[in-house]
Formats: sequence, C-alpha cells, structure tokens
Amino acid sequence: MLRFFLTILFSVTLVAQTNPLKSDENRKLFADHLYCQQDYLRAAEEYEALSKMNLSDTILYKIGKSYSIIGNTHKALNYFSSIQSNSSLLKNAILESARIFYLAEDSNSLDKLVNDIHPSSVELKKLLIAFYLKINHLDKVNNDLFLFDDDDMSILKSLYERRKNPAYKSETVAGILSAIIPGSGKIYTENFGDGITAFILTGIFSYLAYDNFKHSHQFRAYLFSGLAAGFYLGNIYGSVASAQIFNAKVNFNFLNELTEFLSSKNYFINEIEFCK
Amino acid sequence: MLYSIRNSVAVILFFLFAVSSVAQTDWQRWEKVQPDYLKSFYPSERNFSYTKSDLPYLLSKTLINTYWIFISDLDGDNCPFHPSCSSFFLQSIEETNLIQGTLMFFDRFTRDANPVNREEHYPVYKNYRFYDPPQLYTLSKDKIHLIPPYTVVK
Repeated sequence: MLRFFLTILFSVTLVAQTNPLKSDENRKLFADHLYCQQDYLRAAEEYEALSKMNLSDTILYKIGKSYSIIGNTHKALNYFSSIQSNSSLLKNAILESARIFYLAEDSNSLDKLVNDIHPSSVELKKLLIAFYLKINHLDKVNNDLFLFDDDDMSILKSLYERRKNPAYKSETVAGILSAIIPGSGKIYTENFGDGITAFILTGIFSYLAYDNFKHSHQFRAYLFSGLAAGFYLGNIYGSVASAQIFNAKVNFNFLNELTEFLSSKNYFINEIEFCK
Repeated sequence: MLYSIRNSVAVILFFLFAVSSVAQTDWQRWEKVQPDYLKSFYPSERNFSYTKSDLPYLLSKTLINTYWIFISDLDGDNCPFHPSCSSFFLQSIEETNLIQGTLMFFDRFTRDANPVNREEHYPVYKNYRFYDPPQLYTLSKDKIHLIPPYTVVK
C-alpha cells in the first residue's frame, strides 16, 4: 500500500515538474492574448516571466509599451532602452521614450535624446517643437527646427505663431474701459452678460443716490452712493481679473489644441499592429 | 465501511446545502428595488466659528454670521454659486485683505445678478451650483487653475 502511494506521489511530482501549461511557448501565447485584450499589467508580468533567452526585441518592446500605457514610465523606459540597436523596433522605442519625456515634461532628457543621441530624426524634432510650445519656451524653437516641410510642420508653425502672438486681452485696457463706462471692460473680455449687468447695477444705484441727494434723504443717499461706488470699483477690479481669466483660457485652449493634435498624430509614432 | 460512507455522504450533503444556501442570497442583487429619482441634496456648508483674531476678519465674520442667522436662513439656500456669495466674501478677505475682498465681493455680486448664459462660463459643483472660487479673482496669475465649463467638481 505504502509503495503504491509513494509511486503515485512520485509520478504526480514528476508531472508537476514538466507542466506544459507554464512552458515559455504557452506563456508567450497567453501574454500575447492578454496584450491584445488590453490587459497590459498581466501581459507584462507574463512576458517578464519568460526565460531571458526568449526575450526578443518584440517582447521587450511590448513589455515597455504595456508599462508605458499603465503609467509605470520608469520600467517602460528601462525596457525601451534595452532594445538592440540593430532592431527594427528601435525607432519606435525611441519615440515611445520621447513621448514619456514629453508627458512628464522632462526637458533635459527630451533635449538630450533629440539633439545629442538622435539629431537626424524628423519625428523627434517635431515632438521637441511641440514640447517647447507646451512649456512656452519659444526662444528655444530655432528656425532650423522648421526645416522640414510637411503637413505636421505647417500645423506646428501655425501653433508657434499663435503661441508667439496670443490673442490676449490687456488687463490695463479692461480696467480703463470699465473706469470710463462701467461694464465695458467685461464686454471687452467677452463677458457680455456680466458687463451689461455691471452697467445696469452701477447706473441704478448712482441714480438712486442722485435722486435721494436731490430730495435731501441724506441716509439713503449716502447708502446708495456707497453701493454705487462699490459696484463701480468692484467692476473695475473684476474687469482686470476677467482679462486675466480670459488670458488663462487662451492658454488653456491652446494646450488642449496642441494635445489634440499630438494625440491625433499619436505623438508621431507609427503604431505597430501586434493584434490582427 | 457502510457507516463511513454514510458519514461522508452526510458531510458532502451538508456542504452542498451550505453552499447552495449562500448561493441563494445572490437573488438580493436582482430583487426589485424602489427607485429614487430625487437628486442628492448638498446644502451650503456654514461654519459659524471664528478661526482668526484680526480685526477685518472679526468684523466681516460677525457681519456674515448675522446675515446667515437673521436673513439667509429665513430666505433659504438660494445662491446659485459655490461658495455662496457670503462665503465668497469671507474667503476673499481671508485670501487677500478687507478692501480687495470687498471689491471681489461686489464683482461676484454682479456675476450673481447676471442670469444669462452662466452655464457656459462655470464648472458645476456637486450641489448643482456654479463653481466660482475666490482664488480666480485675487489678481495672482499663479492661483488661476482653470476648470472648463460643465465639468463637475467634487
């Protein structure tokens, strides 16, 4: 009986040792499936569990891509940098790294990658221009960066011009306009409703103050004078603040447009189709 | 032998019964529920306590507390903005000073009095009011953190 149990135990152990489900080939198939199902964390873990001799450049790229999508940029950069220099995936790996630097606003790393390591890459140069537009360092955008002439560059050029000459509203002008005609500063900053309301409120309280002074109702006259002065001065102040907010909106919309442009171009990366 | 088999069957049946009983509670997820179509109500937060000791703050806080107790509580929680105009006044003074805070309040009151197209200008706070914090109006550009209109702020 004991011999029988021992035999069973031994054979079970043997089978467990040679479990084909966890072979590299099956792991890779499973990881490929997870990757295509967009289950990137588990896909990366399965790929990482492969033996080192089976870690091809494609798999390294896919692990890097998975970590990049998840947001683990440190690991992603490690995998992208471990791709062989003669690999066909190298260009994509570099662009993926550049995208990570762009999103993390890592100016030094992106600058080094573009100007020192890969100075001939057009896509990297485009991304660098977009990056300088994003952080508003227009002095770093040289004319030689615009040497290439294609659709992307013409869009980047127009974005550059807009960043250079933004459609800002002057805070001083807004304040002066409101001081001359209450509410006009707000209308200048395109807050039409607020401008008209400010004009009406200041007008009503000024009239009430005038009328009460005229009829010698001193207390009411001073009360309405105070309110009229409050609305008048508050409107001048508010017009300046409104111009600031308008300018912040211009920047906000510009950055949104830049992000939309880059997203539509996939950050100049030609995505490789692994899942067909 | 027979006794042991009977015992095993009893144990298996017991576990089967226990598992089935637990599984049966799953119906609770699918049972009929009474739907609640009412929006959640978030009244404006009011803190009557004094947190500072400087004179402008004490004066303005006393004024606002008096307004809350004698006027606002009777009038109702009607301000379409978050923070409400009275809270905005207090926060403006805390953020800047008495004079600037007062100017910010008058400006806010103008915005409050304007009933046109407000939804196109402001994000929405969780209590379905327009989100308009005083930090936007302190004239300090670093404090302007723009939130697009229609965005729900939690």
